[in-house]
Amino acid sequence: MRNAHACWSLLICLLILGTATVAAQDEGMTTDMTVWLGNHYTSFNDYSHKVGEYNVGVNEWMPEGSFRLLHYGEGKLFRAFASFYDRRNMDGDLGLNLGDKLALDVTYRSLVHRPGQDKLANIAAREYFGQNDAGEDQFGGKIATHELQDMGVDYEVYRKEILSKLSLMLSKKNNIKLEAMHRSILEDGNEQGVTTSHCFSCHLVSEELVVENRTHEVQAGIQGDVSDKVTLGYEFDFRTFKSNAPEATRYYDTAKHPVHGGAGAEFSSRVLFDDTNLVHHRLPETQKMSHKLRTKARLGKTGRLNASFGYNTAENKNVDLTTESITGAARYTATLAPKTRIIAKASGARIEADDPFINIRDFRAGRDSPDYIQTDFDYTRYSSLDRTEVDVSAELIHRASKGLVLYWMNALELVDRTDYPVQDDGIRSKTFITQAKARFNKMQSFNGSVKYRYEKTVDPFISGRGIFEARGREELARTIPAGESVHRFIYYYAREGLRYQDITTDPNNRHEVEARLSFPTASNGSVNLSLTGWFQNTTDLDSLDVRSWQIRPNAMINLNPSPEWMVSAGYTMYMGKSRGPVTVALFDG
Amino acid sequence: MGVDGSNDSLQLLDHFGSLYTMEDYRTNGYQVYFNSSWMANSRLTLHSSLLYNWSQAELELVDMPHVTEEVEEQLHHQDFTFEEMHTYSDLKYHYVNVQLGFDYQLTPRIAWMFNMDYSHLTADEEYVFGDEDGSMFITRTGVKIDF
Repeated sequence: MRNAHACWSLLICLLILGTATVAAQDEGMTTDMTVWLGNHYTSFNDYSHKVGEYNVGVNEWMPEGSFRLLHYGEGKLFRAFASFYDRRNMDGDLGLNLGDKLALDVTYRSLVHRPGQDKLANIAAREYFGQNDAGEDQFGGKIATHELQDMGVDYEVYRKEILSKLSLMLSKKNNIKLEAMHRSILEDGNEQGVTTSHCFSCHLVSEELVVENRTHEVQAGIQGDVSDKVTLGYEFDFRTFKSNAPEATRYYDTAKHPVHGGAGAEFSSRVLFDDTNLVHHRLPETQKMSHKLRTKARLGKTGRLNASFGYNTAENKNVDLTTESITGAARYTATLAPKTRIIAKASGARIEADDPFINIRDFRAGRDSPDYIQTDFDYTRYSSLDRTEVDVSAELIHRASKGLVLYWMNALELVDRTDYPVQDDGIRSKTFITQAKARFNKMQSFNGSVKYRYEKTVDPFISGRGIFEARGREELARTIPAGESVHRFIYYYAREGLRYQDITTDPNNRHEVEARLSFPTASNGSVNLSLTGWFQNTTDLDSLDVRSWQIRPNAMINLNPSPEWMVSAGYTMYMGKSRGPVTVALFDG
Repeated sequence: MGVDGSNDSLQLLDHFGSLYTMEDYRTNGYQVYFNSSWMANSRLTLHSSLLYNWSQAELELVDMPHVTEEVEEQLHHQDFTFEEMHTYSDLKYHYVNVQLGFDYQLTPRIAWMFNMDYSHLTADEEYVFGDEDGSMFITRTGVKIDF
């Protein structure tokens, strides 16, 4: 990485020197240059990962500096900026703009994030039976334990991003432009990884993981005018993600009774793995690709149409799983009357994900006692990503008077999930939206806006696996097939049938309000007031009284009591409440 | 009814589904700030700022429905009152940031800048990271040169 920094530094110096040389010879151009040279001293007291979550300062004077150059005139602009705070906080920007012929921009940003360490201290519990006749505490077999193998480690993730953008005019005749973009995000450092053995031991282990994530993206496109009224364009995007970190492995506990250590074969037969070293926290190597066709057209005297059509793929290369989608979007604006405009939008997407067959070890394989069951859990996983989405909306904008503009928007959003949770099944959720807004502007006096929005969702998404168990063992009895009933024990998987299948925590009513007001004060000051809030609840499925709300008032004032004195102050409040289910299982053993 | 259709509920000994209740989770936050910049004379400009942020999140007391006598008999050793449960995820932070500094114009093109930045965070409720109370003090100084 030091080599990369050296290369960047060298490149920036060469460009700056080159530009400064050119600038000195370039007549009719203006050059502004500012240099900052300084240093800083940082001291922490007590815990530093929260108050200094993005700062790795040290208790000594450290150098810092920045450089800014602007060279402009005659429709041309060159800018260069470089900033060094410490070796993990550096920024740079190079830009060149030659009117509509060429626009080039290269930026570099870096920062460090220092997350704290979860001490897992709340993962320490054991079933308590009470006291025996001798007054001694009696404990059961349900235990949760934790282990920090990396206690006291300081985690740091160093993030760097390089972004380059190019726009080049190939031909002025048809306004043919080449546009390209490249972005790389590099993340290095260490982080906390927590793994859990199966529930026979509920043993959580924390260890330090190496972070070495690489994201690269390239985008290229071309657009041109095919007539006086129509512009066509094509865009290609390719993005990859990969972790170069060494694989982390962990030993998973031997399956056995957590207290007396017996019944190992029985415990082992109920889990997919135990007494083995396995790789964990492996990040998927992914690859995304998209092709997009775009068009802009003038329709009639005032109509404008923007439309696009895309084909996208996303692939997890570790497990050879692919998601494909076809998307389309259109936006039409037109003037209906001298003071009335319409904005109509429509978009749609068809998303399909691979349906992998999940082949896993049989439950209780090798255990052949007649009172015990064996079960094959192999299944085909149909994804909730499979869906068709359609959004349509129309907004009318009417200038009622010189200082008053009215907006009214209606929309429909449709999500049609297919093959979920089983093949040929699905959920079709529909959301109807209406929104009204008024914007007023009394020059020299005040301006502001008020908005109200209402969303009504019919058939909100419901988890195909249920949310949590209903009450009562009679209910559980009805969920177990008669052929599997000749046993005494109820296993965890059997309890899945007891879960509520028809409730959701998604809202189907949502109200939003927003009001803003600004007015000037004496001495060139201003006051800005705003209030935003929303309320949402579920009424269609009345088994859960899910509801939540937020309200956020804000006040800000800017004053200039004298030409030499500027003051600003503000107050923001946030209040919210969210109601949801809290549930606990009732069982013993 | 038993699992095979008979009236043999003993087959399902010790399994009673789950209890649930609806509870509110509250989040509140307040932030005030004040910034001032005063040009004391043609060379000296003073800067100051103050930021105070208070944020809180808490679950209401979990009040589960009463466990029936049948369940109490078989699960008598378990506690379903959850008097402490709502405190597990409580968060309460106070954050103060104060900055004081000045710019002094040494020449029309060169300015000396000095800034002190103090932040203090208090966590009244200990979360999974332990005691998060801490402070940070940064002193910066240098010169800005306009060419």
